[in-house]
This record gives sequence, structure tokens and C-alpha cells, in this order.
Amino acid sequence: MKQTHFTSRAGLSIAVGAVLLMTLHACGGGGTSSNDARESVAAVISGVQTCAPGMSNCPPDQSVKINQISQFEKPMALTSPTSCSVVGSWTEAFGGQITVNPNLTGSIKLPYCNSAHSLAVTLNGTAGFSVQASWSGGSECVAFTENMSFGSTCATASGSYINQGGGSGIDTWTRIKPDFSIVSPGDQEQSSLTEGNFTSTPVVSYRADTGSGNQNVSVLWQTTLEYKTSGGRGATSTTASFQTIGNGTTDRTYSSSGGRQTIKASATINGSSKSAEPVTIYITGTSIPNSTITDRLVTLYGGTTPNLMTGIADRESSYRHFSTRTLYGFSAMWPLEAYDGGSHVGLMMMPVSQTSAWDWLVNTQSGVSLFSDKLATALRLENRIIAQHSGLRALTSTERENMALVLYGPHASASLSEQYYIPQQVGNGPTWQWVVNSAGNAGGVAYATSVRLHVH
Amino acid sequence: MKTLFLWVSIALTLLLSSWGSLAQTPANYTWSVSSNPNVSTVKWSANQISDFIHTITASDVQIRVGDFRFIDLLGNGSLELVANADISGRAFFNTVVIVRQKGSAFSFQKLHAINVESLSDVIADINNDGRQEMLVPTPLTPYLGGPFPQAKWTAIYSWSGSVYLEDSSSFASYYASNIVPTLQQALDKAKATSDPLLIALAQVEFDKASRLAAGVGSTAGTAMAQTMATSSDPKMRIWAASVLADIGSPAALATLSTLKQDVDPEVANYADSIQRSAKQDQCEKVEVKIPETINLASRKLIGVTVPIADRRGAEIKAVAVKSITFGEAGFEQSLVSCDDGGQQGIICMFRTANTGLQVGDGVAVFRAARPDGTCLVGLGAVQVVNIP
Repeated sequence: MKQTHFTSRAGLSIAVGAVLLMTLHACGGGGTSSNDARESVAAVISGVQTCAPGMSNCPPDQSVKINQISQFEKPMALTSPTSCSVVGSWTEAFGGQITVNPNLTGSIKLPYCNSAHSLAVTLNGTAGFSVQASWSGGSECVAFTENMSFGSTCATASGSYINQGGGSGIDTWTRIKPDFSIVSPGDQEQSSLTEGNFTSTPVVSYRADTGSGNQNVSVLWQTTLEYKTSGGRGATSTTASFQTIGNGTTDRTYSSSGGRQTIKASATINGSSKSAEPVTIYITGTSIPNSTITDRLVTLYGGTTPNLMTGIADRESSYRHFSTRTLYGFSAMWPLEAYDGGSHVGLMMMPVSQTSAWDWLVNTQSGVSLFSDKLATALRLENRIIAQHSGLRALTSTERENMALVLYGPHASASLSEQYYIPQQVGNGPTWQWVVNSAGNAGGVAYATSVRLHVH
Repeated sequence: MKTLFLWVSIALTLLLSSWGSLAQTPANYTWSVSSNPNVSTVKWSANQISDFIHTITASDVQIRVGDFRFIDLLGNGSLELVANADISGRAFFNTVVIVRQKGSAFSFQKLHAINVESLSDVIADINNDGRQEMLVPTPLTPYLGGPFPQAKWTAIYSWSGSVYLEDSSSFASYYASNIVPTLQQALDKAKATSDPLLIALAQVEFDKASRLAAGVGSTAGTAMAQTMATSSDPKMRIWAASVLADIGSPAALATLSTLKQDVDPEVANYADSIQRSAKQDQCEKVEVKIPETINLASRKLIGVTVPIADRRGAEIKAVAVKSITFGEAGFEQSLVSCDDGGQQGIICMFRTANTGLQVGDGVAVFRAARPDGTCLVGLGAVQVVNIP
């Protein structure tokens, strides 16, 4: 957008009105909404708006324009997109050049201010954002705030500004379309593990815009998928490279993995090396139906108590593999973590690793396999105890499960005297019987009892 | 021919070298500080230490070590091995292991802990007597699933002359000056979040440390625990049971009794088990004399003397004989007979096979109950071998 130098406030207001009209004409797709917008702009022009964002010494009567601002804002209820990104380069209605960084800081250089304002942007859901523009320059300008809503195509945003010390009005931002950009996926999008029995994402399409006439340009992509728990545990980082041609698309799916993916694309266009503004997306989990979990655990185990693994899962994780939390500043379904920052993850609370975190099938298999090992260990311990106590019978398979539960839990012990059962003499005689070892391993017995109480 | 001989020699050398490194074990090195090299001058892997412990205990259970130190705990020139151990196979490092060398054999003592991922804050000489104490994070509330926090406290073990004994009550000033202030800060920080769970966790841990700082009989935290006992959240009621059992006052135990009858069977289950554990922890400590070496292959009976030369005097003798147990954990019904040894005290004979003692065990435990329901516990150092 061409910058205009304003020598008078009246000239400024007329130019502003014209720019607004042009801007609204450009973004108003349908008849009704754009006509409404024009009418509201007319109301603004007739009110002789002689202020601009950040402008100092705005006339005091400009504060009444807030009512007109409200009138203006209503017609701008164009179909709000589900998700737009404020990151990137923009121009605004008063000739300002705006840069918003991925961390939502940035700057705006207004033509009537000798230096740039610093910006702090706050997202208001997915349809808009607020801007705090701070000023440390001369008296020609002041700090201001803006409250903006995206247009239907994400190419514009409009709303109101309020200057520190007085003055307010309307403003419109127009995105500066880069020569080369990543079109898909969109920034801050997420793809969840909803396919492949909740282990894979749907297709994620990667497409760049190389501009018209550049359909044979080779686009080199680099994606980095990283994950670590809230406590920084189990950190993984996977980098992949691939290629598209021109505005072509390549599709990818992600299995047994997730996290934050940073997407970069580069290309040589008309002899010039270009890098697109990086895009960040999130590969996240999803809610897995209880019935699906139960079927899995029962199928995996097949022991004396068929549903015993459901008791472990319920005790360990309340039957969740993923839970809503905020990681990387993004609220989504992430792998359920142990309280200590994620030393253990998922349904069976297994030690953190990429697959145990992101693949509930692996997590449950690992838990059940470990429990099967514990059954074998329980038998060895049982045999050793029996060898030392004449007449002591073999445990039943259910009792051996109780021994294994202690060995699976946090009170596992290698001591013969700290298992679920301990031998006790029958009367004064030489024979022995098994009794529950509530004294020798109260915690272990309580854990095993708790698991059985949680069996589905 | 010469070339072939050269290649065979190189191959054999490589094979023997790898064999040697595979067979390398702490048992092959001296455990004396003054020798060079000694076991602490070798770079060991956690797997090698795991294998070593597995070998010396001949355990049926896989023991996995995370962190370990070779350190002269007692300042006497002999090195001990301290390691964190996971028995569960899920990296719950809930055991701290101390291994000492006695002659050509090794003895093994374990301390119950919670999530000891690193030994960096566990070993310290906090009273500057030249012997290291063990500051062991210990669970205060039970494990209620991974995502739910578990309150813990720092139990202090000191050297008794033969074994490490839990001796937290002797370090009240240490709790007051080193632990309570840190927990106070954590509590203040939790309160600033307004998160009731974080606040409850910090409060429970702070109150425990305060009780230790104040000395035996302190009831700090009773009011909060009694409030938690009426919570609609069963997990909070389980926490209440833990705190009330730990306080152990008549008022606390009265509230605990109600939790043992809780409508939620899980609360009732935990309240009962927590009370049992707490009772064991509150047993009066007595000295016991146990044979230094117990050879499982040849010694059929083990004689244990509980000396009468103890300040409790005759009261020690007033135990219910049928309650006497002895063995690896102290709950083993291994008693054969007990006699009044006069000035020596009580002399009991226990059947070795029924004690649960295994090769490598370094501690054996004697327990008895008095007719009034109170209990005695005595730990003695042993070295258990199995030499035909």
C-alpha cells in the first residue's frame, strides 16, 4: 500500500476514509455486508475522523466516535474463519507497516511516527486478536491498543484502536502476500491421532504457493517433529525432508508419534533463494473410547482374571492415554503424564518414550508383557518359599496374580518376605498356609487390592 | 601362514579383551580406599552394577540400578556401594541399596524410598561426625496412580554401628533449620496458585517436617487432616488417613478409625493398610545380637539374643512369645523356642529355612509384641552366605 504523508488532519481524515472505503470494498465479498460496511464508513467520514493509531494530541471530541466504532464493527461480521494467523507482514489503513513474529511480538512503523512502536499481540480465540503497541519515542506519537477481527479470507483484519491519552477510531490491516509462502498446513493447526485405531493422523497436506508462472519450481520442505513432557522428559526430535513442485501437494500421515512440528520450505524463484515464513502445527492425541481400551486389554491378557489389566489401567491412569493440557503453549490432548513431569506416561503408566507416549497399543502391550513377566517371577518366588516351608501348597492362579500385582506396582520387592502372601504356621503344627502379607508389605497389598477394586 | 597367524592372534586378543570387560565386576576389585586401583577408580555402567547386585543376591527378581556411588560412608577406609534400585521394571526407583564387603562376601541392606532417580542429595554427613547419613525420600501418602501426586518426606538414616537405622527423630534441629524452611517456601508458592491440590500436598509435607522438627509427640497437621477426612474426594480422605496414622495421637487415631469404615471400599482399604504400616514404624527399637555370618547351607538354627541390659529392663521380657518373629523383614514365623537367658536377656532360636533370609542379605529383623499391643523391633547386621 502506498504511503501517504499527511500535512493536515483534515487531509488525513479524508485519505483515511478513502482508504477505508477501498479496503472494505476489497474485503467485502458479499453485497449486503460490504454495503453495510460502506455505509458505516460514510458515517465515520461524515464524523470527520481526524485521528490515527498512535497519533498524539488527537482532538478530544474523537472519544465520541466510539459509538460510531461500535456501529462500524457490527457490519464487519463477515463469516469468521475458523482459524487465521496474525503472524506475518501487514499494512494498515494509515500507512503503517506491521510485522508480527511467531512469538506474537512485533512492530508497527507508522508514517507519522519517527520510529516504530513495539507490538505485543494476544489472540482472542481464533477469530481475532488484541494489540498492545508501546511507544518509547518522541511526543509526536503515543502508545495505543487495537482490538481486531479477521476477515473471511484471513487476508484482512479490522477493528478499533484507542490511543493513550485520548483518540480512537477504526483500523484495517491487510496482509502482505509474500512471494513464496506455505499454504498448507496452516499455522497453529493440529492433526490428531484419530485413524489406525487411534495411532495415526489423517492425511496432512503440504503445499506451498510459489506464485504465478513458477509452476515448475522445486520446493524443498523440512519438518521437525519434537516432543517432550512437561518436565522435559523423553525428548525426541525427528526431522524429515521432502519435495514438491510448484503449487503441488504432498501428503503425509503420522503414526505412533506426535508433538510440535515446525515446517520450513525453501525454493529458488527467478534466480532468487526464498524461504517461506515457517509454520507450526501440532500432532496430538485424542480420546479413546473406554470400550476400545477394555477390548484391547482383555484381548492382550487372557489370564485367570480376564479383565485384570483394566484394573491396572484404571488405577494407574483413570483409563486415559491422552489428557488435555497445554504443552508448547498449545492446549490439546497430549500424552497423560505422571505427576513428576512425565517420568511415566499413558494408560499403563510406562516409562516415557516416544512410542509409549504416542501409541496406546504399544503402551498397553508393554504393560501387559511386563505383567506376564511378573507372573513368571511370582512363580519363582512362590517355589522358593514353598521349598522352605513344609506342606505349603501351591498358590492358585488368582493368588499368583496378586503376587504379580505387587511386583508390578510401586512396592515391588525382591524379598521373599515382602510379597503379597507370606507363609504362616497352621496352629502349632509343622504345616504352613499362605496368608495375606498385610504387615510385611502393606503398601503392596493395598495396591493389589486397589487394582482389583478398579477392574472394569 | 604368518599372515594367518597374525590375524588369528589379533582375533583372539580382541575376543579375550571383550570377554574380560564382560566379566568385569566390582567383586574383582579391592574395596579399600587406600588401594589404587580400587573399585571406585573404575568406570562402571549401571548395567554392570545391576548385574553385580543380582549376582551377590542370587535374586529371582530382576533388579535394575539407575544411579550409584562407591563411597566410604563410614570414614573407615572401606568403600560401600550405594545405588538406587527398581524392582518393578517400570523405573520406580523405590529402593536405596547399600552394599558392604565383608571378607570375600558382600552384604546388602535396602531402604524403602520413593522415586530416587538420583543419589545426589541422598548421601551427606549432616552432623559432621565423619559418617554419612542417608537422606531418603520416603512416601508419606500412597501411590494413587501416576498423575496424582504422592506426598513424601525425608527420612534420615544413621549408622548404628552395624547397620543403617531410621533415626529421623534424632535430627530435629536439622529438620528445623534445613528442611522446614524449604517446605515453607514451597507452601507459600502453592498458596499463591490457589490450586487446592497443590496446597494440600505442600501442607501435608510441611506439617510432617514440622512434626519432626518439633520432636516426638508433635501433632502438627491434625486439624487439616481431620478436615481432609471429611472431603468428598476419596483421594483426599486417603491422604487424611496417611497423615492421621503418622501423627498417631488418640485424636488422630479416632478419626482414622472412621476412615477404616469409609463407604468407599478403597478408602477403607488404604486406611487399614496405612494404619498397619504406621504401627510397625512406631515399634520401640531394641538391640539384638545376631550371628555375624549365617550360612544357609549349614546353619539350621539361628540364635538371637535380645539383651536385658537395656533401659527397658524387664519390660523387654514381657513379650508375647507367640508374637515373636524373625527374618529378612521381621514378620517371618521362624521361632523354634525362646528362653529367659537371665542377665543375657531373651535367647530365641529360629529355624533358618523359615526366615526368608537369602544370600547377600545384610540385615535381619526381630519383632515382638507386648500384651498391651505395643511392639518391639530390632535390626541386626548379618552376612548371609550359602557355602556347602
